[in-house]
Amino acid sequence: MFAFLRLVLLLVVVLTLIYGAVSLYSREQRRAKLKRRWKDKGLTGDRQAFIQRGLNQYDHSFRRRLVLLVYILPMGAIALIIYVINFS
Amino acid sequence: MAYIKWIFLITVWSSFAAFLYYTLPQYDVVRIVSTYEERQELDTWKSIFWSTPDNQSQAAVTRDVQFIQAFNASGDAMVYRNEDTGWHWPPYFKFDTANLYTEANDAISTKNNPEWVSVLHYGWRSIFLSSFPNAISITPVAGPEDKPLNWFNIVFLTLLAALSWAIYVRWRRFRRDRLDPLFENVEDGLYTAGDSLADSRSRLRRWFGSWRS
Repeated sequence: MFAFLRLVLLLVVVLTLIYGAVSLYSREQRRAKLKRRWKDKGLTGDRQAFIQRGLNQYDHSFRRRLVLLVYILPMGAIALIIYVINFS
Repeated sequence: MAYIKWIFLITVWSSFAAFLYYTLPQYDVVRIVSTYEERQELDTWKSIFWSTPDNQSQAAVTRDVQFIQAFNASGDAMVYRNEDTGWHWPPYFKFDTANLYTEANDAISTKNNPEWVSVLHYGWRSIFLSSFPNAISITPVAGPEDKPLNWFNIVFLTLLAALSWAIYVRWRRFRRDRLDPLFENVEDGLYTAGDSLADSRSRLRRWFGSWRS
């Protein structure tokens, strides 16, 4: 049981680090994209509000939820290995 | 210096290759002839070639280990150990050791009436180190030539190569764009410092020269 807990702890720590890094990176990418769109379309008005609105939309988007694959893929791989090795 | 660099590089890369060779799965097509159990000493450095034991037996220095004896088509003997990997490294998550032992016993066949099976395993058989590959699963196959294609290794090694290449290219680019200009600046600074030092020294010498005359 101790080995299992150790593996879970290791996965939680490592995957959380990766999750944090990927979600920060992805949000910054979206911010850069919004800035670019503001510039390319020559929009006028409150630039800060435009970017905030775009980021708010991103926070509720499916794309942001895709970052959860960082957790789902390794756990799924482990479940698949357990099934293939022991039950088939 | 060049020798040290080469020895270092060769050591690192061969250790990495050995690690992959030990850990990645491989198939053997064999005929199982027998199985046995033997008590093994675990308190030597060679314990790295055995699985990490369960909690209750972690303090024990000896343990019974199951073995599977087999012959391949060219008549070479092969002995596998049969141990759980559990939640430990390498990540095979094998828990069905007792079931596998049963399957192995069921697959025992004679030389005259051979029944070929493919044994998925990892690890090395070394007679000097007394190390045995760990059998992971046993599947019946049509004959000695019917070796399953190792899809996992093909996919894994391709992905690993792609990932290494991606990191290497980015590192090269980072070094060219960020680090090299930085070092050039430092070098320029050093040269300027050296020049000014030489300049002041020659002035000092001229001043001494003016003394002499």
